[in-house]
Amino acid sequence: MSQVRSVLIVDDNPADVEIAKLLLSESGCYGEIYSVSDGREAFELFNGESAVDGLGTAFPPTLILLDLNMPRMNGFEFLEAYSTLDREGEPPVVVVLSSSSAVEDRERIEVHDVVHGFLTKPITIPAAIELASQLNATNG
Amino acid sequence: MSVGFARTIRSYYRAGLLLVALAATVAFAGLYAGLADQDRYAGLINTSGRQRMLSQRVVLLASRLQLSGQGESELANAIAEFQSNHETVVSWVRERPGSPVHQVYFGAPHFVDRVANEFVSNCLHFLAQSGLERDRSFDRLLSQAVRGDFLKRLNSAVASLQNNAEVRIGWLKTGEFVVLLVTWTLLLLEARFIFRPMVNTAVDSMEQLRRSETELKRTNEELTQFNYRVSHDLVAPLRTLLGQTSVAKLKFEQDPTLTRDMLDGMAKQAQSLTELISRVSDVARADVRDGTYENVSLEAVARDLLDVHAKAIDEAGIEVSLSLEQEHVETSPQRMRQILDNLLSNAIKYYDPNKNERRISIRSRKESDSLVLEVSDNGVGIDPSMSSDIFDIFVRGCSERGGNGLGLYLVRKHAERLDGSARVASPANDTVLQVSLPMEVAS
Repeated sequence: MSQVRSVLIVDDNPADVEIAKLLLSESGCYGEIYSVSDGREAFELFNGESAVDGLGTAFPPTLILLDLNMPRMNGFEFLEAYSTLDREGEPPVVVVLSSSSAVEDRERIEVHDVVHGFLTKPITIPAAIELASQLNATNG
Repeated sequence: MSVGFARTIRSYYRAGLLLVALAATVAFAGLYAGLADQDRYAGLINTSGRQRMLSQRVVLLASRLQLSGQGESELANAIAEFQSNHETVVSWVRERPGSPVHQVYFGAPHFVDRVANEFVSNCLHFLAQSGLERDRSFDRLLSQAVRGDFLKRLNSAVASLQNNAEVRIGWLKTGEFVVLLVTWTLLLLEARFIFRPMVNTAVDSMEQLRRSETELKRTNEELTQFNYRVSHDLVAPLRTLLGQTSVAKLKFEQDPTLTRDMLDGMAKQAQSLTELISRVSDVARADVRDGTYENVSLEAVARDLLDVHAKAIDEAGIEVSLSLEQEHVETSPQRMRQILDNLLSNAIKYYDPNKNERRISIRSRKESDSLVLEVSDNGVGIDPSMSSDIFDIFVRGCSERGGNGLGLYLVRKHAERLDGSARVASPANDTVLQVSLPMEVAS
């Protein structure tokens, strides 16, 4: 079965994080899964201001599951800030995982090239498997 | 602007126009009557002036008749003209007893009427006679016309008529001047009591219209954002709940502990959804103006809220102190309670578990004409970059502590509805949120 090496979940709602972690690992397609609670924390990981202990090769992640509605720095702001970073190597794929199904939110997201897709909460096991196979297909 | 005021100003305006129209009509009628009067006087003066000439002509014609026996009919015509002229003037003068002209015609020293009638009868007598009697009659006629002061008397008649006309002109001038003064006064009064209030009202109405338009736009913008956020925030807990359901369904046989956790989580989502809905209806209510202001005891409100939140305060291990220098305020009790409730809930929610002593203090004081209400805490504080929009709708200060982003928005909304304001006086190391409200109810 195809494997996605590591996943970073960016979400302020601990319940949603727990559900996503559980269902992703239950699907069996994902390796290391870890999380931060808003866009600012995620951005600080990427610009090197902070680190999550014991990640090793799990950082940078292969996939970022990004929530949109978060305090301090929301999903839109994170994408803006993230695009300004100079980064080496294969960039992580961003998939928006949000409770919003609003068209205007999708349109705002689609301008960012790093965004691979748009999922609505809660993620399901079939959707997780489908996503993993898509990612492996694009990564060759 | 009230309907009553509009009606009053409209009736004032009509009265003002009517008065000005009346003044203009009076001025015109006065002038018209004065001119007609002067026209009549001019005729009379002319006629009485002709009498002087006629008296001399009659005497000349009589002497011609006496000398040459010619021009009898001419003389008769002249006498008739003199007589009819005299009748015209006298009939007019007779209607004005007591006037100077009347005195000249009927009183001493001139007795113009009597003298003129004597002259006419002398003339007629002269015409009717012949021979010696006519000679004698001619002598009498001549002596009256030439030696006597007949001409002087006729002159007095003309002068008196002229004088009378001048007096009337004087009256007309005074009358027109009075009408002018009255018109000016009317215009000034109308400008002061009708036109100025009307202009002020128009300017005020326009200003009011502009302000309500701005407010309407702002409200509309806020409402759009509110709708977007409410629909999002109502859906989010339901989606979490769906996720928890699917995890519980997946795991309930192999992991009962996890399943129990999920059920607890589901209950929490339902709880937070209930809270959100009740907050949303608070927001809707905050927009409705209520007119009831009372003398509110801050101490009573604070004590009551401390009871309501006693469990949460106790669990978080927070020490709450009250220091109410200004104890009473004239305000809306419901709004005051919600302001303090949300400030207090906020302070409790964001306590700092890493501190041994956790404090909240509620203070009030009077600053010039305002009540300043402060809730301070030594909790986790507010990120300085956010302190300007912490009172905005759906802004949450911290990721970890739930909340729906409506509490402080409600605080600001209520404060603004009471003509006050809300601000962050200090973001951290004691976080101080401050609300100031007018002490007196604005009328």
